Amino acid sequence: MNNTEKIDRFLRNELPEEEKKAFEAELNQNADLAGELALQKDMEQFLRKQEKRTALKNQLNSIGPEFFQAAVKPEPGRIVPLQRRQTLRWVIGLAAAIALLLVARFVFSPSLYDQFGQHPPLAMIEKSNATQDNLAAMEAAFNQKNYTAALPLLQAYVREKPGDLQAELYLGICLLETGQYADARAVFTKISQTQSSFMDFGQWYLALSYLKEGDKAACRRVLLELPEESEFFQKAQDLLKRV
Amino acid sequence: MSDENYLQALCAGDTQRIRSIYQQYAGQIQRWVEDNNGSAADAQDLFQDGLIAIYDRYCGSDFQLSSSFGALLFGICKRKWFDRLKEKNRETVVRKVEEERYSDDHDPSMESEAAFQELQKQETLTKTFALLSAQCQQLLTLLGQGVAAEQIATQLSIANANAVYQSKHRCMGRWKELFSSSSKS
Repeated sequence: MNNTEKIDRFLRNELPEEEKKAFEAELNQNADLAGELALQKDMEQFLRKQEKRTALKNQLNSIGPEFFQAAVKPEPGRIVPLQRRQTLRWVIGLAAAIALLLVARFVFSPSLYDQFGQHPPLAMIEKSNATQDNLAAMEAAFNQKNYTAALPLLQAYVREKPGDLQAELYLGICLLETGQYADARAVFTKISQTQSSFMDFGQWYLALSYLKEGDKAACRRVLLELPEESEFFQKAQDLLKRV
Repeated sequence: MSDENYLQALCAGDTQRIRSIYQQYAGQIQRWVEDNNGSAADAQDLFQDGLIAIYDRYCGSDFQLSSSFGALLFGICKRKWFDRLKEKNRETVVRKVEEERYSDDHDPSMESEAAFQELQKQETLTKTFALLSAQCQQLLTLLGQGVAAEQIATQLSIANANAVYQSKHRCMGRWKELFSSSSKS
């Protein structure tokens, strides 16, 4: 029995009395184990509260704009002493200089795509018992950025398990990284039209595919369609400022 | 409305009374954010994060609110804003704001820091959960909603309740790995 299972059975109060006592004794000795227990408790709580938390977020998202849209009235007649005004001017000058430096850094730094196209690691092994070896090879190839090697493995996987959006997303990324833009976009578009936790990924990567190909107008258009509640909204705003 | 009422409104998701939280504090926070190089949209995000942080820490938990609701909310928003400024690497701004931070006696630091940390943890859990396979996400979500393992087995075409728990352990194990590597980076 591994730690995860033991902790789970402990939390569900399913360990036989003796094992339970031994486990409690071990917890006192072993800080790592205690840490794992705390994390698993957090995860259980996350899962219990997940639905309500998402609902609350959506609710706040719709209430927020009522109170934040209009600019606040400027404070009437605040008198700024001359000394502070000069300091302020100096601070603004400095800020402008730094902004220039930042711009220069971006101009001479790696391409925008390289800066924004950071892929999350592929993690599929937990999905099935069967073809573990293939999955491990696929994960390894992808995570080492060997997209040419990962591509056929993902294609085979998706053929076997159509509708696995996570695998399809990574398939799209491999197509994108190997320069097969039209095929990649077909995959991302399809994902962006699903009602799933992957839809925002689809939209974001669709934008990245245009960026990589150098079509900035199309990239902007897709970014602008990202809803504010999307995980990628902030990133999209940053990228929009720079395409 | 009392602090206790604000907290109840938030925990219960009571739209009308949540509105009065905004009514009460939004202007104050927006002014502070705008004074510190942020926009109204930034303020709205912060405000929302602040409320979610309070929800994460105080709703359905044993923690008691010991400072005032407004001071706590303001404290979390400030903490989050410092964090975002640092991320953006706008050093001059941070330095300027930092001075105010230490001369500020309204900040119930300990409590807002704890709520902020809780929020960070929940965000990392959310992000790493999204990286799990669709099957894992479904299975864990159903278990979290209290659906019986037997029923989940039928719904997800898994052999039996025992196998549901086996999968659960595998998924949780994977999730723990993702969480640890994500909080290190």
